[in-house]
Amino acid sequence: MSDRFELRLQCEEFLYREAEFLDDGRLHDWLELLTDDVEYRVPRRVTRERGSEESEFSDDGFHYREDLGTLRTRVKRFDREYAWAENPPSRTRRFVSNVRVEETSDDEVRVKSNLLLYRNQGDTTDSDLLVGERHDTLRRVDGSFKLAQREVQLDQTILDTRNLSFFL
Amino acid sequence: MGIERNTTNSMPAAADVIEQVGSIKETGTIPSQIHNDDEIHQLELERVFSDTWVLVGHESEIPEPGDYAKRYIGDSPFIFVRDDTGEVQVLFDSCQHRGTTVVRAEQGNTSYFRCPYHNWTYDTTGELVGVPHKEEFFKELDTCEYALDSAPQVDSYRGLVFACLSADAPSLEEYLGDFTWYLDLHLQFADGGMEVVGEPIRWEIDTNWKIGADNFTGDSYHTLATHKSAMDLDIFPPELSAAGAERTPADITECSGHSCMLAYLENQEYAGGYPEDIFTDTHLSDDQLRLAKRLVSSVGTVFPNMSFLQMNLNPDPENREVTAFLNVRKWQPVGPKKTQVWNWILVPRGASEEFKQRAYDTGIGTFSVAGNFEVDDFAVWDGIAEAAGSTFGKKIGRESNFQMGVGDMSDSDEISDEFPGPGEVYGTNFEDGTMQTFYQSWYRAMTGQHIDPEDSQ
Ligand code: FES
Ligand SMILES: [Fe+2]
Repeated sequence: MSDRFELRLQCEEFLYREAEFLDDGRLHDWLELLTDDVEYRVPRRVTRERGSEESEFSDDGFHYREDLGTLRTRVKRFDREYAWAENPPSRTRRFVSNVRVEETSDDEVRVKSNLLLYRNQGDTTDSDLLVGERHDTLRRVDGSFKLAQREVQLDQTILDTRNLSFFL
Repeated sequence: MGIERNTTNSMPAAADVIEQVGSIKETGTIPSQIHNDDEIHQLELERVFSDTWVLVGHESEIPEPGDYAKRYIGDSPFIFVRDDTGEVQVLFDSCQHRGTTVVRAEQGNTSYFRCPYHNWTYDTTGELVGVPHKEEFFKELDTCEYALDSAPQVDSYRGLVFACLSADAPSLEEYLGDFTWYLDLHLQFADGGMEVVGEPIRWEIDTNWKIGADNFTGDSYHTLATHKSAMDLDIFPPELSAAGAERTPADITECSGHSCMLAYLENQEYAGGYPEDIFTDTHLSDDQLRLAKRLVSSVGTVFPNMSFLQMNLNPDPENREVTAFLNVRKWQPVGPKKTQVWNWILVPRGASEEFKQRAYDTGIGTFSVAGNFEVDDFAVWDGIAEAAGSTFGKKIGRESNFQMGVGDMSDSDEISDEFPGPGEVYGTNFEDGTMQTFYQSWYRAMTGQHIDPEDSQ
């Protein structure tokens, strides 16, 4: 087995486990997968004309721009019964695919993956679909990967969801 | 005034339902049906959104000539553009040829707008400057007569651009009236005013546009329940929170048809959410400046669908500092139970880059689609429209309660005499007068009256 193939498997394994934690509501376990200096961002996507010199992903407009402290606060909030956005909890199912190992250094790997997130909540058949590409940096800490950076590039400019009370 | 229920048709007619709203001050109630009804929604587009001043955007979003953004007034598409001469225009986004929309992107910079259908081309002032093969097929067409239509009235207040689809409606200045006293607290406390960071965040919720607008007039009561999880975590610093004893509350009602709530620290110079050196007395009166410096939270709604919120909050109480930001909101109706939320974060133009970033992060981290304060609002608002639109809800004439402070419900006292600002002011954040003001303005607009109460008396 080539090293590269082995590396991709390791990255996939990390992303699948992470998805399991998030879908199962194990948010404290998820926090353990993050480095202390984690950067978690979901920039706002902007509909631009073809050929525009500006990126579709905003430099200064964001849905999320978080660090470990703000993420921890969010998780602590979800622990409360009065966090109505997640009471009853969303039923989410994440499909992580097209995992591409982009670049590696001694201790870090840049990984791209596709995310399809289905969400249903409460007494309804309605569902939200959030689809996008994730650009992650995984770092080896004590022999296993942790998430050091994530940018989620969503495919919608106007989100069709009442709220983002979950992580992408 | 009750709903007449006749036996052949048990559903009340829209006109009766609207009429019932007119007595909200006496009854403290309105029919829930107005929060999800096709006919009322249609009438709102024709009356509310065509005859009042509606927020389009902020001038700082289009700083350079040719900068444009696509915007909506009710369901009508407009181009918000700074033209070649530097003037702000609000042009109807409908080609004068066959009428399709000309702008394809949300925002950008351009020197012309070219229609995708037959390529008629307009300059940034809306003039028709190009008709393909004009010499052959459109010889006698006078291009001067085919400029893009403009919104009949366009004006700005402290950088916020509004448009009105009626030429006869009172001017923006008259429309905002005395309420500018409160807008200035939020928009004019720093030299250079405010600017928008990033592009507005947009998302859609399954509720009526009025729910967000009424909540933002000052529903402090819900803060204790809906936002309990955020309060328990000190995202809203406990000494500043709605239940906290230190802050002085004020509910501003009947202020030229608009309303808001404020809370400030009476016994302290400065509340600490904005950098202290940012405040200036250049544009505010002594009373206003005094209040602006001490403000810990405020929300308000300019009828119909512009709201604002300023708070001193902290998305990570253990590691960050309390920070203020200004949130400007537009509740754009998409249907009787579909609202597109537009969310801008504004910061003082003269603040440091570090502060602007921190204020933005605090703003989106608490009040936006992923904001750990506001996600809980969106979780509960959908249910209002669901029940309001239901057959049984209409059949029994279900009413929505805004009686807090009405009659002997509480000891809320009007304090207008002691309070320096205009409007009917109450010395509490727990009364429903701010929301009653909103629905009174709605009633006036729906019955063809201009919303300034002075006009209608
Ligand atoms: S519709 Fe615009 S050019 Fe024909
Ligand atoms: Fe709220």
